[in-house]
Amino acid sequence: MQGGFWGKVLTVNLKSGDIGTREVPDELVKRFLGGGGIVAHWLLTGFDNGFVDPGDPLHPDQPLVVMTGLFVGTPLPTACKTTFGGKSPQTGIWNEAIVGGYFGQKLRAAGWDGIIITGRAEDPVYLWITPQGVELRPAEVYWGKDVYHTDEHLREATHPQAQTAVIGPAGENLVKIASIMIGGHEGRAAGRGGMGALMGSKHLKAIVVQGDQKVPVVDRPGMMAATKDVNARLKVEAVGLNRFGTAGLVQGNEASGDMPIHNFRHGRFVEGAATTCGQHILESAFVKNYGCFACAIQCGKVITIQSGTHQGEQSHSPEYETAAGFGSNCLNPDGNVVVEANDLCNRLGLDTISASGLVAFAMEAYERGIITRKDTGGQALEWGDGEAILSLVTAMAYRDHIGDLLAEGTRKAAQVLGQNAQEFAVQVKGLELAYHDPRAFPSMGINYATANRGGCHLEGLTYFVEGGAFPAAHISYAGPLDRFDPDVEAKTDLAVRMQNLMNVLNALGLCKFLIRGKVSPAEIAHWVTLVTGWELSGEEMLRIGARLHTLKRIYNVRNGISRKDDILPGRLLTHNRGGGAEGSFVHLGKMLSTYYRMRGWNQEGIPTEETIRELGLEAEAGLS
Amino acid sequence: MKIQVTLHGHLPWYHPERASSLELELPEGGSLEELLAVLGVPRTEVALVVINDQRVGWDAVLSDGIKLEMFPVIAGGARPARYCQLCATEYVDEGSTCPYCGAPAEDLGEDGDEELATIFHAGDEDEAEMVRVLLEEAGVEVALEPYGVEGEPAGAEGWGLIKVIPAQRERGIEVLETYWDRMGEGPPGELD
Repeated sequence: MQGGFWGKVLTVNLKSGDIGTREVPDELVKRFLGGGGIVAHWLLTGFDNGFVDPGDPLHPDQPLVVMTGLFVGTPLPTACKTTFGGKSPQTGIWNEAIVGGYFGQKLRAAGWDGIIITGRAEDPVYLWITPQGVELRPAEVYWGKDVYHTDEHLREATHPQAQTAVIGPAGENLVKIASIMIGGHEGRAAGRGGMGALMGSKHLKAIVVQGDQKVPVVDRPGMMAATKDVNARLKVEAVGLNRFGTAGLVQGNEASGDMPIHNFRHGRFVEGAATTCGQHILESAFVKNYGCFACAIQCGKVITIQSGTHQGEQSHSPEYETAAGFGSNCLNPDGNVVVEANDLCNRLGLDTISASGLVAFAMEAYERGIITRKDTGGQALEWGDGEAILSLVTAMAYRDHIGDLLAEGTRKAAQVLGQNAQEFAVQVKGLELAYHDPRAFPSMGINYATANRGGCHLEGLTYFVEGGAFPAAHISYAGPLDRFDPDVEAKTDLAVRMQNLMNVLNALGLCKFLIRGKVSPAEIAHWVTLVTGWELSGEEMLRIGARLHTLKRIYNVRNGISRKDDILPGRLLTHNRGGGAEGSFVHLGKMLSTYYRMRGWNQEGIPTEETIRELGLEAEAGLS
Repeated sequence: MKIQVTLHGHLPWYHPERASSLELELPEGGSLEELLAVLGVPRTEVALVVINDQRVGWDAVLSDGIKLEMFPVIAGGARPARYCQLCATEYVDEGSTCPYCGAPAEDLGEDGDEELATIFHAGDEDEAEMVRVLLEEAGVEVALEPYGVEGEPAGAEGWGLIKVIPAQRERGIEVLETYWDRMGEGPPGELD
């Protein structure tokens, strides 16, 4: 290929200290574009060198693969996303934690498309990458330090413009919901699925990159023109994200029944939403906007912390998921507590969705007497109590008292606690559900049940279409747009189409919010041509999306996943939450059968041989 | 002309005074675009516009006395609450029948008090609040209607009325009766 990837990734064996190169052939890019697809291909085909999955996600041989999206490093709108892929320490299945910021761009500017990390270092190390060379350096002095401290000191020790991917104490302590944090104070997180624990298990504290090389592009003037055009559209279409950030959606989502309340139990949180929403937080604390590399939206917000230990310091404003998680879902109406909890998670290196889900789970267990003060070091866990929220977050990162169990994730914690804890364990395949309630958008129900990494909303943002933020015609969806329409066939079709599109965006390194600019798949496919010279249509590109989704499913099937796991938590299937989603339920059984048919999987959720051949995944599925 | 506007979700934050419901005096025959300019709300943030409980397109013409609502994007798949009058559990399309029990759909508008059934007379505000919590925990949506002016002490006739949609009337009464049975005492107020 004449443009796009450099065609090589870095290989690092932390045990032997060996550093090498692995080729990224054009054929792989044409089949999977980039990012997680290429990671899954390598994992399934054993890197062509006889690698056998040792099973345990924290086994030293288990690879952590960093892979940029195809467009990362180009100025194409929102081209910043990088995948941290591999087997999730939390769920034991496929995981790709995808993150924005400037790390991916720096990695491409250092001349690499990605990094394959294997083995476990004897003592803590960090990886220092520049176009001039790659070095493993001792990191004992940073071990135990938080993310902000480590980021600052590593940039002092290397290069002031370097970008860091760092784990905090949570990752070091193998906390299963630990994130990998990008850009220190900027608080960008490869959050979901516990990739911080995978990195911690390798005794790798950080990856630091600096570079100045330009990614090769075939038609640079054409690409610049396309970029200018879409950026102008994004400034108009995504003005809400620009002004208030994702947390600006809190009140709307509360009203529509989309935002979970009281551990997904209840329907309304009107006053609390008004004091935990982005607008309210920004009113007194706003400092400046933040945008990831190549992004015209600038949905990030830097704020001054208004309370607590770090009062007066700057931090990143909570995203919608975090505001919903530490706000309504914990019945906490205090925006300052949301800000503090978010900042604490970013410092300690914890996924805010899972961390807040676990806090709500623990509060409900406490309410029911399953957890008592004896388990919490004396801390009461009343609903909405800010002190309880903050102390639990810290306890999880350091595995103190009940935090040690919660650090294993909701699924494991519910198993160990027993009694009726499963009743209120809100997770799918071991991953805590994100905060878009599928009862408010039943098309999200089938997405959550079939998303490859578990309870993930990002794999199929159907509420963007039903909520009027992305034209249905762009994905050739002709079914009803009323979110409560009971047409199972149509709503399942919508989920499949959006999953295919999201897989493509991830692989190209584009942000979800690009679609707020109403950019069509045909337009994006044209960018592929501009960058690589390879002719691709929108339809062909979405077909690659279907291939990517089934590819990751094959990885999951190999790890024991089937229909039995494509389930939603009982509370969400059977309990009327009320509010803006009053009386709405997901008809999951019917949707699953329809979904499998549409995907070409059998009724147990296993891709059929015919489908595997049709999608060209024989090598990955082990078919000859 | 005079129109009544309700901004749902986070849309009020675009209005200079953060108003969520307001009465506006506009020139006759204005367009939605003109209204948006007055409100300060960007068009790209609005998913749904409803005039007098009917969804309208962007070409709608405004007229005197209308009640207009705007719902935000993403969250804004939201629409005025609709319940099946018979099974009380599903939202159904305008003018259609409930897909589960076949009954014709009915609208519960935001100001649909006249359609609500009174199930309880509360003696004071605390009592009204207690009953509201009881009902809402049982999944019954409640409207409180005070007799007097809000914030002022209740008069001799008590605080006010507890109302629910007709389809939830029986369920509501059952919830309250069960509660007082279990408590071994009669209702503090008067069950309708």
